[in-house]
Amino acid sequence: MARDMTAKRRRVCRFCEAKEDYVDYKDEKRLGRFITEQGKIIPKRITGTCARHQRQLVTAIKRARHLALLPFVSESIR
Amino acid sequence: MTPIKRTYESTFIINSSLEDSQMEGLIAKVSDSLVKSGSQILDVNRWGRKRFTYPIKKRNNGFYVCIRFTGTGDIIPKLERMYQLEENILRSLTIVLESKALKALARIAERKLRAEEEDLKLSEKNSEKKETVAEKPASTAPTE
Repeated sequence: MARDMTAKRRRVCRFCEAKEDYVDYKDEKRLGRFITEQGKIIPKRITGTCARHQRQLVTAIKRARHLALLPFVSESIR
Repeated sequence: MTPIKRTYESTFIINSSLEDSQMEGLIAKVSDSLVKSGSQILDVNRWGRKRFTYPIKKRNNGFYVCIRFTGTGDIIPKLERMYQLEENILRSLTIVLESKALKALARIAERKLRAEEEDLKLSEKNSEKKETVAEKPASTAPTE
């Protein structure tokens, strides 16, 4: 029963919740929540991020990867 | 037609095996070249040494510097060229800050300032409390 409730609950975009309209690539701790252990970007259907913020998030993660703030592939997989 | 002025943010990674003076020299070199080509530097932010999440040029850490400046678009190729030629700069990223981003960043900076002020107030209060606490045992001690 409890599981059903959590599955049905509508996830709210974290960036909308915080009323932010810019996702910063320098904030690697925050971006880290949106990648898997392997280092892949988590789809918005799982995290609940809205489309606009997901687009911004993706560019931010890619920028952070370029500066070696986030991994392309996690250490454990390599 | 006058070219449009924009705000840019450029982050680069310096070889961390350099000495501090050499690193400062390099930062000065970058900012000087920016000023010479007619841009205004708003902010130079040194993040310090950071570990990479993957090796770059067989190194595991680097010194991150983030410069924010305004200027016309023609300075960017010059800057990028300099980054390429400079061997001690391992990686760089230059982006345009849109007005939205600028507002958001300003808000974040303001929040940080306010938090710091509150911290200061709190620490002042705490130090006052400590003083009063410290005085009490001193006043009670002679009576014993």
